[in-house]
Amino acid sequence: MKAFLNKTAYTKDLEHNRVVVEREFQAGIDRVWRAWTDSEQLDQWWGPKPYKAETKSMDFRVGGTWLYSMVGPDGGRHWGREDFLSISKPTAFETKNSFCDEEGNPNPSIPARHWSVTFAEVGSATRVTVEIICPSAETLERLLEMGFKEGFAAAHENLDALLAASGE
Amino acid sequence: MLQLLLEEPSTVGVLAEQFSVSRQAISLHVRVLEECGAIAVENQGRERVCRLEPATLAKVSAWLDPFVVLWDQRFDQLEDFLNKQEEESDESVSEQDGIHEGS
Repeated sequence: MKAFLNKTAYTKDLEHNRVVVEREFQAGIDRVWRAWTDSEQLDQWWGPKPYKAETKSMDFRVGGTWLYSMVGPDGGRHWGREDFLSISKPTAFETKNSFCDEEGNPNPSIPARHWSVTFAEVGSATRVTVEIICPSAETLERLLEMGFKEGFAAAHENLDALLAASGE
Repeated sequence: MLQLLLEEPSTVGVLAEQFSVSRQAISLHVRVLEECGAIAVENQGRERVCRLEPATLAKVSAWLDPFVVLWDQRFDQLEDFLNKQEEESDESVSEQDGIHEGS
């Protein structure tokens, strides 16, 4: 039997300004599709701790937009938007992903990225593949740095919890 | 802490002075790092000296990549969410995909 991909797999293709993340989930394709496309469900898992995603508006159809913010523990918000370019339920959708302000005006200092999210049935599990293509090497670098900030906040929170649990 | 050890090996006592948490918390952190192989701890007289294990750190450096941490966490949360949903639908009688109505 094929090993279940329960850890996230990464491919960094720096030559093409492209990153691919992949993971399998022990759930049917329709449920995984809904977790990715229903904003009430997205709000429950999308934000990396300690950030929490909050949808402002969701219009899940080609030409529509998901406008959301990541709320930090101090109440600070980072806004993001995804413009849906194509939708093939339940196997794939593509978006243009940008950082923006509260009104959805794109942040001009970092260009939008092209995302392709695909879903494939693997036995009773579902494999999710997220391909992120940046318009330039510089954008990819900026994106990885942003991961840095959020990822580090997450790592630090885990460390804090560990230290707190071990306190006297 | 790893940052400090990157410069030179150090005793647990000296490490503890650098942080504003309890000595017990530092000891636990040292033990966790030792258990995962990131550092080696050696008794020298009454002192315990910590040093980095570069081979292990090289192996985990991909995991420490912040972008990877971000997506790992996001996917872990999705997994938890899907599992939680599974439990809930096990409890309800006949929920089918797509026809669940919210309150």
